[in-house]
Amino acid sequence: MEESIIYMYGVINRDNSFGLRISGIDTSSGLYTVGYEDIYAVVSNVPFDEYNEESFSRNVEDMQWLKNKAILHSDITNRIFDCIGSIVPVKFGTIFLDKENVRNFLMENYKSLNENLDKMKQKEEWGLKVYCDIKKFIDAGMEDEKKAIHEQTSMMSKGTRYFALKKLEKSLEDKAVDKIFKLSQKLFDDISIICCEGKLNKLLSKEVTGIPLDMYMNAVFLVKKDDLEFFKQTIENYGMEYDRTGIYIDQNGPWPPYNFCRLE
Amino acid sequence: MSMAKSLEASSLADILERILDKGIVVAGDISVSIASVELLTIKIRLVICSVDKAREIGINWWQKDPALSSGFNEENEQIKQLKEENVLLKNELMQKNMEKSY
Repeated sequence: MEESIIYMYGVINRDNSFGLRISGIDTSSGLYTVGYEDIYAVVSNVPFDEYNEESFSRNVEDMQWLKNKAILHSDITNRIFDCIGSIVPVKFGTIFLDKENVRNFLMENYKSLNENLDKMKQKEEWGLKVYCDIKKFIDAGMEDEKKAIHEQTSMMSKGTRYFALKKLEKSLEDKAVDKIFKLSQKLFDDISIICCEGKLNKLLSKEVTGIPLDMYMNAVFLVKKDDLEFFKQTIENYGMEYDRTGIYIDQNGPWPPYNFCRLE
Repeated sequence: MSMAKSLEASSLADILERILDKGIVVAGDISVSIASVELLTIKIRLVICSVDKAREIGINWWQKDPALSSGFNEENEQIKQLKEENVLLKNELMQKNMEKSY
């Protein structure tokens, strides 16, 4: 029985001859590369006992294990990206039994991997999430509508007013949500223009983010390193403009291009 | 203000969104199905929620989560968890003693 198998982080187009002195997802092994022609898979050894199909399936249901390994995987991939400047990142849990299989994977996908590496040269991924405190948004920008509601309902009897308020406040909130989505759309469109590519991902709930505000946009952008300053400045300008209205822009990066690589 | 974050402060959701759902799909030798990113992020956050609870009562000596840098130490993590549990239990005990005296 083999003692160790191979865990993969991504593909690069430079050998690590200058040294990637980084610990792998299992600290018993450091990173190394398996090459085919001019492309290299960055990998490390992991114990068979812990990473074979059966054990791995069990381990990913252990939240402590999963959290630790997930953060390590991400951290290691980021470091490779920092060192080398370019990487086609793979999903968590990409495991091979031996180097030959890794080499075969590189061989079978040589053309597509090279295309990805070419496309990603000198670029990085940035995430933009938009959150909004809807009460603050309504207070800051919908004063008139709020006033109108109170005027409308002030003459009503207590009971009638209660229900009328509920209905009118709900429709005000719907209007606000509409506005916030429109503003997010504008942000997305404007940023996309100055980037190579922009993508919208699914919105995440408060339970997932741990942030007590609703999410209105979950976008990722592929940005040329040369355009970074302009990208950041544009977002900062938006941030200043939107901040007063209760809209928060969460800018996160740089990331290896997880969202923009694809094997054909 | 825009909540610009450095990579070190990336949230769990930002990380899991990418490594569980994105990146190229490689048919490795191990085939495992992993639950949805949303479900797992919530479950993991529940596992570490004892941290949030203690933070509420003003204890936050673990601000720099060692798990976010590589060179992660399993033993330190266990010690950290035991310390957290200890703090919570002590507080519970204090609470109960106070209640008794009324």
